[in-house]
Amino acid sequence: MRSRFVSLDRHVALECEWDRPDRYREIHALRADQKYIPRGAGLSYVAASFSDRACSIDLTRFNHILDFNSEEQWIKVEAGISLGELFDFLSPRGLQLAVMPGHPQITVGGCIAGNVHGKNQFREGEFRAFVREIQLFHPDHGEISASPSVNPEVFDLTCGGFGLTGIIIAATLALSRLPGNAVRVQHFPVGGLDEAFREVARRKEEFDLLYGWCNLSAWSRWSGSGFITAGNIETDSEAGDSSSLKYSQLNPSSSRRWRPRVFRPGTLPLVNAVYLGMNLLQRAPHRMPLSQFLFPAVGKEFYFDYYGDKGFIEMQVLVPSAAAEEFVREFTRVVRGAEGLIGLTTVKASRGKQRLLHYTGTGFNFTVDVANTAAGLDLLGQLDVLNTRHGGITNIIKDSRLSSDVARQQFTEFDEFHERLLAFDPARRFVSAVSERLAL
Amino acid sequence: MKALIIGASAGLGRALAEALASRGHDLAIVASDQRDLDAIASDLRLRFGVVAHPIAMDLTDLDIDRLRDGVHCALGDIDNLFIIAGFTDPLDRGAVGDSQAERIMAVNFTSAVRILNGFLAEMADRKGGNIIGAGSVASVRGRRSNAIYGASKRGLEGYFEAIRHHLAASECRVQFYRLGYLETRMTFGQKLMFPPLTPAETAERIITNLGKDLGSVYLPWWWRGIGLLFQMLPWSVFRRLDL
Repeated sequence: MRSRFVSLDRHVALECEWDRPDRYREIHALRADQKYIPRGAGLSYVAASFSDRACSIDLTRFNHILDFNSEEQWIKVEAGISLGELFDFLSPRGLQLAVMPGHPQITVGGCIAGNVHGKNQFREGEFRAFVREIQLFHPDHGEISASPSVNPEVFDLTCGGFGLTGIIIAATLALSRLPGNAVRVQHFPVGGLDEAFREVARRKEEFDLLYGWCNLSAWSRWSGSGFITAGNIETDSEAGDSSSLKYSQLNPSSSRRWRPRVFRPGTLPLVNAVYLGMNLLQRAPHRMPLSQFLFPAVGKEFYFDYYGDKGFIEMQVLVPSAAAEEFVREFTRVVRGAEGLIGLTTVKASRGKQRLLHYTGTGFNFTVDVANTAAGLDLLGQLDVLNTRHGGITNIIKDSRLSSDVARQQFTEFDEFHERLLAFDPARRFVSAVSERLAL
Repeated sequence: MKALIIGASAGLGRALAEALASRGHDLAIVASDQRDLDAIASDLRLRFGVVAHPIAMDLTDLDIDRLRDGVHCALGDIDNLFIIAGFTDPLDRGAVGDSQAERIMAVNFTSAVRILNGFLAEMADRKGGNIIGAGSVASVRGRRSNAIYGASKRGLEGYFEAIRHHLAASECRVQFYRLGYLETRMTFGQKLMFPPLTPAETAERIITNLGKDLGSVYLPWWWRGIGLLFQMLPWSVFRRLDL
């Protein structure tokens, strides 16, 4: 059937073919002469799960738990299972997925394809590190098992491969012990972006979970005041919370017409000032359910609508540690001279080794959400130059306007990824609007 | 409680399996594909700690003895029997081939009758037992689309009525649901005149009704008015409708 799909940032909207199989034989019946792209929850900021040239294969019906071993700490699941379903299953058993992005509706398949990270990237690194094995289906290759030791080429390309190697049917994931189900949270005020970077670097050894937030909306652009949110999982809190996660379904592709643009130059600074004030009021250490800390987007789903119909662009860049100080200085200069409306600015610590198109490295994971206006796009264009000059890499699954040229300059193995993808799939059966924009 | 679900790999059957397992019911689940069933059975066992026994069986080639043995081996006697399987073909508009016509009738009618017969004696003795059948609003009136499917489901409804009559003196309840649109593979991509229910919502309503002497009912209830209107349409009007 045809459906209109919209990226989470609302930057891309396309009429696409869509199918939602619910039996394995329906996946195996995918034709070799058609283009496809797998789709999980459809919550990528970018158009990673749709294209007007491909049929999106919705895997949300494939959400079963296939096998589980609590002693050896692993679980085998179908790729359409959501993080929320997994959290509900694992948490009462005192186990967890070590890396989880911000909304429980996101699927395991999406986490693998995007090689995502969570609030603890500086400790646990990327999602790929916890994937032991995947089952992949490709119409030309059939069903393939891949792991770091079996078909490692396919495994490498698929984890962080944006769904371009085929349909991830199932995955075996390594788990870790969940020390408790509550987090002792603190907020530390920071006077500016430079201080936020310094504090994140300084405090990462002390805390399990850590991120900084700064207010760079118009009135506060000169100060950038904000706070660091830091948390340690309470080991004395019971790990056996059996209540299910409750959350609103996010659906950027819903046919709802009216999205009031709340975030405007006159209102956003006020909203951010209130948000900052509310967080600083809770400066003293306090207890928060782990799920609330892990999934901060829950209860704030309205955020994605408040930029209005034209949406926003999220630019997330991994800044190498050595370049951070100079980067912040230049970033601040560029932002102060630009007019784009910045809604959100966060900074997290990151560790890892960059390869292929993986958004991984050691340094700072820096995010800005900019309203999708001409001024905003102009600001982001300037930031592309800045990011590249400082050795930063932009997160491909976050930024809807990142060009192929900029990505090629930033990712040293960009061409290698493309060549290896072509070697695996010369006919390029799997394409998305993202792969087309990046000429992958 | 123990239940047998025929047609458990997708849609309403799968939703019933999940809803029953979440209430602690042990299950035998039947569908044509072993891999689909294994996935569902593992999931139910792991999530809910129930017995979930998969029996792969093509309803066009039903082996009633193997089915009964499999169920009894895994569960012993069952309390609830759900016959949910359904199958149609977009070509079911008077032009469907012989083997496909046979298949539509087998999945929707003849296999259901044989399964019901196979378990009837033990269900008749079951205090608090339920036999549940899934029909369709498509069977309310014969029409050119879904011709064999609609006729098969109407035949099945007739058989359920007979079984209800047969078991009237027993404590086993017989219910037959004329289901409205469901969000399943069968309706995926179709432009529907009325909003569909999700399989999970439908399963909850069916489970809530267990133990009630309902006979044949529409689900959701408001299809009753539409069904009545359909039945009352004079032939001179009905023949012109592209349904």
